[in-house]
Amino acid sequence: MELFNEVKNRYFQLVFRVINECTDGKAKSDIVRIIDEGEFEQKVIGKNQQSFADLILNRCNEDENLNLLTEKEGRFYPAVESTGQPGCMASNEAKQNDLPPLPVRFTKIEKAWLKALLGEPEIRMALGNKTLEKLQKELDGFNSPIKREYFELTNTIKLPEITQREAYEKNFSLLLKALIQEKPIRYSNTDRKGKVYENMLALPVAIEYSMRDGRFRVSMYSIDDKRPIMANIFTLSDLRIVDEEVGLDRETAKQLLFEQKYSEEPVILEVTDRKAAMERCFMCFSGMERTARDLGDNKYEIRLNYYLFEEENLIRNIISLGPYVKVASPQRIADEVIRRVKKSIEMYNEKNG
Amino acid sequence: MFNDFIKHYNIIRDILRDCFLYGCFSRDGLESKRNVSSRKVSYEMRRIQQYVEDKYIKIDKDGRYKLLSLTYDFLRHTDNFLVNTYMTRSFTRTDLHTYFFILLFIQSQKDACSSNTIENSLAQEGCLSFDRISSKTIERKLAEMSESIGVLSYETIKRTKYYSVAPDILSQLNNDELKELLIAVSLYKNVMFPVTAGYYCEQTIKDYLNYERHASAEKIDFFNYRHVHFHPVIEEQILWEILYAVHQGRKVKLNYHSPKSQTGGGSSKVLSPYKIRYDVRHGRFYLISFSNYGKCIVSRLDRIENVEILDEIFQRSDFVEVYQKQMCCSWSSVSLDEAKAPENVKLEVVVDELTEGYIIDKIMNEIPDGALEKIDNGLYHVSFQINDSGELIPWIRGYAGYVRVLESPQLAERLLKDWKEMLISYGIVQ
Repeated sequence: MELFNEVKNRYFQLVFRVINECTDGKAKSDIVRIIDEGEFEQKVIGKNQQSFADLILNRCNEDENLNLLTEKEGRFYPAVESTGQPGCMASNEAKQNDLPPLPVRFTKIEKAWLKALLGEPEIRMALGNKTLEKLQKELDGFNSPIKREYFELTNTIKLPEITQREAYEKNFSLLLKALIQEKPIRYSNTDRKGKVYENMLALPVAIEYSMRDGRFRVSMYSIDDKRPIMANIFTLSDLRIVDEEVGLDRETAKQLLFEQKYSEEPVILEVTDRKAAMERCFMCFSGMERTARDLGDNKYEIRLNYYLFEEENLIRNIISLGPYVKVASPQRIADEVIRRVKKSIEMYNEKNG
Repeated sequence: MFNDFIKHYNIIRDILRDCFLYGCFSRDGLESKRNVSSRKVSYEMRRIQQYVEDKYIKIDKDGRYKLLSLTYDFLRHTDNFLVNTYMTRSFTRTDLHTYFFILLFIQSQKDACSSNTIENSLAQEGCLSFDRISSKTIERKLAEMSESIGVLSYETIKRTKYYSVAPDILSQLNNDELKELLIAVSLYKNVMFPVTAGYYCEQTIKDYLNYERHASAEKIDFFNYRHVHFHPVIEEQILWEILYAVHQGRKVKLNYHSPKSQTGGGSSKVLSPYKIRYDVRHGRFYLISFSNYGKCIVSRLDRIENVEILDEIFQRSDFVEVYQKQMCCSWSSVSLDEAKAPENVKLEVVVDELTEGYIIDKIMNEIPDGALEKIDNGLYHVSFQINDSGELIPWIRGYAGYVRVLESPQLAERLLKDWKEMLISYGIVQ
């Protein structure tokens, strides 16, 4: 099966859902609502100007109607169904066993991916042993072309091994549970400088995975310090879910993170598109909200909105792009780039001179 | 059925990449950059606007030009919206009819059915019109649904195939275990390639919970990602084909396209595809393959137009050593030229020991197999080997003010030139 396959077309999937939703009959208005929610924002129009809903609800001429649904007393049912009524099949195993009119099954591509997932080194942190074993047994004979040995990730960061795996995995599971239940936690931690924090209260906002270092971290809102924080999962100790009132929910905590940490002014870069500078620039900053415009003469302006905690990385990335990328504003960041570049030149001059 | 869909993903691949990565090109700008007709650019841009949710599309105006760009913020938007562009393959009315009627019929039956039974029953009930759909079409669809897609399975008895719904691999999982699986899939869907398959998988589990178990799947929005790029998904159709060839040990021919030319650059070389390298920093896929003469060939997936999978096979084990030798000292994609040795690099790192000690850790974590030597307080030497020191330059630049190149002099010279050029760009002449 190709990855780009019609059965995964959004409208193919919509037909699938509409038919299964109609198991016990659905009114026209309900079906129209399901279609409205599932369609593209800019709806598709058929060759003779029919809407998708017209085709599904058999409102076109007989040659065009899909007839996958049958109308009976103002309600729509799957065309192959079991009530013994006209337009329905006689036997109907599905109905008798409370199965949906259309079965839900993984495609081969999905099975291949799922099998590869079961082989991920840290999958046990997210999947319990029983679930893992059952799936492994089901997929045992499946031949998946997705294998770790076929891939190599480069430009990664290799952090020291986590020695206390058990505590790491236990903390991960507990934090996941806290997120699912939307409960606050209490924990102790020691930061990079050796400062100890004891019995801290925080609301977990998200578990964050970094693809460069392969580490999970936890993003939280510290109730004690009233600010968003990020912590290594393996360094937390005495971690527990608590039933305390913290005065905010996860969504509010998230919004606070966005608001407090988002830069008020964007960084504006002037890029001369030589040696694929534009492409390198966009790839580097692909996860940042940005706009760009052509200044002419092979020059472009890029505006990047960024999080304040990313500023150091941003500066480093800008410098790494080399001479064809220049900070136009803010001056503060341009000055920092200049300072570092001057320092680099001095390092050479000192040694040579 | 609808003109809005496309038969081949390649139709939108280049324009999608340009809109996503650049976004600063007007229709006319793209036309001249890509050497394609203005009509085509305008047509495909309209499609992209339809496929991608409005919240990710930015439309700016630059004078009379309308600029379309796709943009997101890694913390606010964790779902890869570009995956939606894979859910757009065109289908015919017959495709839709045969697929759903076959599935509805087989699900309604107690026993497995032959193609004839399916055809006759559907005809009797007036579900399918055989003026339009032939027996061969039904047989082809059954073969596709069982062998290629995998939603059906069959058993052959006396040369007749009897079809039934594929075995349910989730049947042994209770609802709590299914929800646990959904969370795991949701976590990994952005980081395990091809991510599109992960998104498909997630939707199937949600549908399964909903329709097979009548249970609801709560929204999972508690994972964030760092250094996860969305744009590599644009190359996943090619990636999938290559993975198939790698897995089957089948040789390939690659057809490249050049961004500035309409004519595709063909490749007559027969290659043994060995490994996919993914540069996490830039979000770029490379295929490492070997020619019949053993030459290591590195191909960027975004430049491959299509992959021709040949019948000729190769032994994967033949390339284990040569791959290791040629790529072990590459930071991204540069292979070691034959008869050449990796370059030795030595860096001097100067930090304030009290406040900047972490810089040393950071540098050592980023250099594969680097050797660290403490020369003095706050002064370190780092030595390692690399296929081509050119690959290092962006990385060294990122440590401006901390790192000086000791070896090789050519690399040091190149960097110094860069630094000076950078200052000139800010109007500072030293």
